[in-house]
Amino acid sequence: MRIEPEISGMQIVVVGQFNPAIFSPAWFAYNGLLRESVATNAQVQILHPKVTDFTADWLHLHVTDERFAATTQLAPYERLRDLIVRVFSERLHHTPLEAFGINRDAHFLVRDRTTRDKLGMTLAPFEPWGAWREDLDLDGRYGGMSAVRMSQGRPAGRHHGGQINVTVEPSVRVGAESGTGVYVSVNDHFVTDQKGADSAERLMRILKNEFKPSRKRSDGIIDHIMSLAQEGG
Amino acid sequence: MALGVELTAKPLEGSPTSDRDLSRERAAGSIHEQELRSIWASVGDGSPTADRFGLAANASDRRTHVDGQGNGVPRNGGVNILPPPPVTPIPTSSLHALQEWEGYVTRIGEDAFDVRLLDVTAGDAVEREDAVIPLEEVSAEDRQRMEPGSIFRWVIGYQRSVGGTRQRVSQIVFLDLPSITDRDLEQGREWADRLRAEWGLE
Repeated sequence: MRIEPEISGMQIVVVGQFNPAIFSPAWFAYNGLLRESVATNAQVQILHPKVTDFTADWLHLHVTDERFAATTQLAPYERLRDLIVRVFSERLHHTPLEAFGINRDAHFLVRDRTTRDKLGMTLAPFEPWGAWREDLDLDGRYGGMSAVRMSQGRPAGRHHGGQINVTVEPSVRVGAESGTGVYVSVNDHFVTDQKGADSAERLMRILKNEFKPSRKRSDGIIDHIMSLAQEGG
Repeated sequence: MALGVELTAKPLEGSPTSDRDLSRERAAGSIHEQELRSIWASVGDGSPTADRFGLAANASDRRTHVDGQGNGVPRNGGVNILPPPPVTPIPTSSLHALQEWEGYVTRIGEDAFDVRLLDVTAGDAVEREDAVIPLEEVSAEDRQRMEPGSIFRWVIGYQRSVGGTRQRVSQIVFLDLPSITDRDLEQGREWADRLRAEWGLE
């Protein structure tokens, strides 16, 4: 990426039917999915039949009965893919799964508030807003783009329901005071064509094959938004 | 209705007093049913696998959005009974790779090990580089597990602590790869057969 992000990460979200209580750090270690030392030092927020949430070294895991979300902010991100594929193809391969998303996030700083305003106006021009645009305050302090979301429905080769969603917003994590932070998020969503006993196997095969191209595509999108910020400056 | 709140025009976006036309958006396919069924989990707009409130998400100004979207929304069309409290992820440091290689071990010596490297950052498809890496670069746990053929990722980048301190780091992580399945072997055979046919080796 042409601008080094202040914060960046990847997340894989799997939608299906889960039993949150089993996903303890000890379970991961017992099944050889996480290193013993990593599991031992995990910080468990909650471990409950309805929700599990813990952070273990590079991994943050949040599971409810319908959603399994694993996040990391520490490269290399491939270990996230490997972990999920191992969980649902080696240990819990009968879990009914419906979909998964490969999510990429980046918060980065631009030179100044004006640059960020120009980026916002490039993505969401003021002109179509009529007379109200005069009141939007072009210095970006009291008005302007608060979020833009662009979606691609059913990308080539994907089953119905697959989509790519990109969101651009002012960052609230970096440069919030100076008005120089930009947040870009890419949600790459895959679904299975058939629900059934082998849905986990099918989806994990897709995840294994699609992780790398997805990451490349997402990084390309984020890099392009960065390029607009540089042009704007 | 005794226990729950029926979903009619619950605000989903931005301000707690905003109101998107859900029926139209659902008809257009832009809102997944899952979005409406979730009690409180971090479900993003449009896609059930989007994340708006995770570790790296841009969420801290959207706490009311979580409440506005989550609390009171019936689960599976039913009622919402005592949803669990939201869990805020523990902040962690962030490592963004400036340079990344994938490699495998070719030989392990007393103080160092030999590797063959593929430059991931450059987008290489095959390994082109050889290197000798001191064993001290690898954690004690990985040192015990590594053997010729072990696959790893080598990342060089800036690690930022939760407090914002920036430090240049080099990290080698041995991957715990998924085991090879029958389907993988089948795909491998299909690939080999295809190549054989393309090259006229049948």
